[in-house]
Amino acid sequence: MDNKSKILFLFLFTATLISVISSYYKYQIKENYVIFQKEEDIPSPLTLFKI
Amino acid sequence: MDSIATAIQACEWGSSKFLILSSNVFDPLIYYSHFTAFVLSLGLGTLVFIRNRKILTTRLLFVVTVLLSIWLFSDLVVWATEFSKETMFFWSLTNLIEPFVYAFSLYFVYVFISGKDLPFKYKVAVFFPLLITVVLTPTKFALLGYDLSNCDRDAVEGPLAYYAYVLELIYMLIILGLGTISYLKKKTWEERTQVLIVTLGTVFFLLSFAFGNVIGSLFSTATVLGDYSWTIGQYGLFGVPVFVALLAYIIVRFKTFNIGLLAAQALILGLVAILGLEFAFVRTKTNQILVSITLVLTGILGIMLIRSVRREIDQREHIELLAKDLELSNKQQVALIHFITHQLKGFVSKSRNIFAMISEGDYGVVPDTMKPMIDEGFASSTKGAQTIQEILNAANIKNGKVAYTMLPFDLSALVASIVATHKSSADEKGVALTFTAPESPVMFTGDQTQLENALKNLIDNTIKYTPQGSIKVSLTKDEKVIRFMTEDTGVGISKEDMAHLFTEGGHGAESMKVNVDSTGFGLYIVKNIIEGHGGKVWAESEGAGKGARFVVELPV
Repeated sequence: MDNKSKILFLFLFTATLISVISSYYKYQIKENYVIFQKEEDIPSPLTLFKI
Repeated sequence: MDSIATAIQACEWGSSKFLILSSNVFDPLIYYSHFTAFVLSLGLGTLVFIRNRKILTTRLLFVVTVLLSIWLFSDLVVWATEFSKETMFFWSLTNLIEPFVYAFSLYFVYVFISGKDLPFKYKVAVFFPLLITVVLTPTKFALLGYDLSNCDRDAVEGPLAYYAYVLELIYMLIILGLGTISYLKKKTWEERTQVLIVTLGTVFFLLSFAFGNVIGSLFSTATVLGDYSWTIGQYGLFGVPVFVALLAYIIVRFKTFNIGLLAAQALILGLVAILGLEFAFVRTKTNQILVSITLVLTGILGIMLIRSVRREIDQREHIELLAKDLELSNKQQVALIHFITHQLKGFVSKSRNIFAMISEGDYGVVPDTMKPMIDEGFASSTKGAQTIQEILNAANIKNGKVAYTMLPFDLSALVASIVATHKSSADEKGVALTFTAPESPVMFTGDQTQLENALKNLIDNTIKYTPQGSIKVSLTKDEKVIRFMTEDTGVGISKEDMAHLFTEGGHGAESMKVNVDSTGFGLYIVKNIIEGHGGKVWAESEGAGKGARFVVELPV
């Protein structure tokens, strides 16, 4: 494997690791998420794109 | 927040142990499907990686199995946990890892099929789209929140999950396209089979992997299957280790002996994993003791089996190594014999020429008292040169160095000339040598020189092994074959000698009594020349002292 590829995978691995750590911090430590108690409160995935 | 705590309490979820063991997992099948896939896939991936860690395909298969194992573990936590924060984190982890399994599978297929690494620009094309998933995983685009409405313990997926599904579909289609194009380009059957197995193996692996999610997501709200669709979906995971095993087998297929060990290790790993799982379900002390005993016994027997397979593999590999050494030694020996006989032929031929020149008076008149010695020297040198030539011919035939020049000629005239040449030696022994052939020429297309050698050898042999009586040489032709035959009243051939008559160096015990100078290569050369012309040769005899018949059949 050439050096460029190694850098690409190292970058991807680091980004993934940061992403996992961020998710852990957000969900497990800060518990920063919404809990929907009623079915009608659950938004459609496309809600985020509405202006 | 109090209302949430009350709602959670109302759901009456069980508490989980070690993240994955809990009564919240509504069907034990989920443990079996996840653990079997986890242990066998990771085990196989690791075993293959340890054995061939320098090969890129094994490294990639290892990466795929590691990612798969993380996914399976996270998925199991999602099934088992009663804590929303754990559901949210591990759900995000499964969604993050899933497209990576597909991307690395695509990378694996490319490297396996092409035999080279994926070019950098294609690596960027394959892995760059994953960066969007990586960056957005900790955001609302990945998970919108936690669904407590029906006590389902589910995360609500955001648009990123659908982006990942589309990406996975694209990866799958590229794998299929890559496999199809490569299959059509490959020329040999073996290459095509390899491409077909690795492509379909990977596609089925990914389908088995995705089966649970697809079935669960599509049918969980349907009235027909409902929540049972998630259970059905688990059956797909049982296919995962099967296809991982298939891919591992394809990688190590050229090391056929190692695959036996790999299979034994995988079998034991699987058994221990399944038995170990029993601990999650057994409740009574008696059952726990029984499961423990079975587990220990399986472990001990497994170690014994693996050791025995390993021993057998070591022995077979050792034998294979010895066979290679032997083959090399044989080749060196043949080359040496060829060299020695070639040198000897030069010396003997030189002596023969000197005797011939002295006998013909090139160096003055030979005294009468000396003449018999000169003639004996000439005859002996001639015989020596012929013997060496016979050994050289046999060596050339064995090494495939003989090329036949096929031209049409009259076989009848050739046999007649050979018989005429040998008439005097038969007469000297008082043996009647006769030849019968059709009146018209018997035309045959072949190498005249080589066939002359073969037929001369047969007639010469017959004279040598017929001390008295008669020899009948005949040539006949019908629509399909030309048949050459010698019939004599000689020493005959015993059953023991018949078995190795046409083999290399195969002179019989009885024949050695009559012809002590026999090299044992004569009939071996005859057989090869006749077969080189698409014909066949065989001998018939009723036994020692009862004469013999040699038959040659050549195709018309």
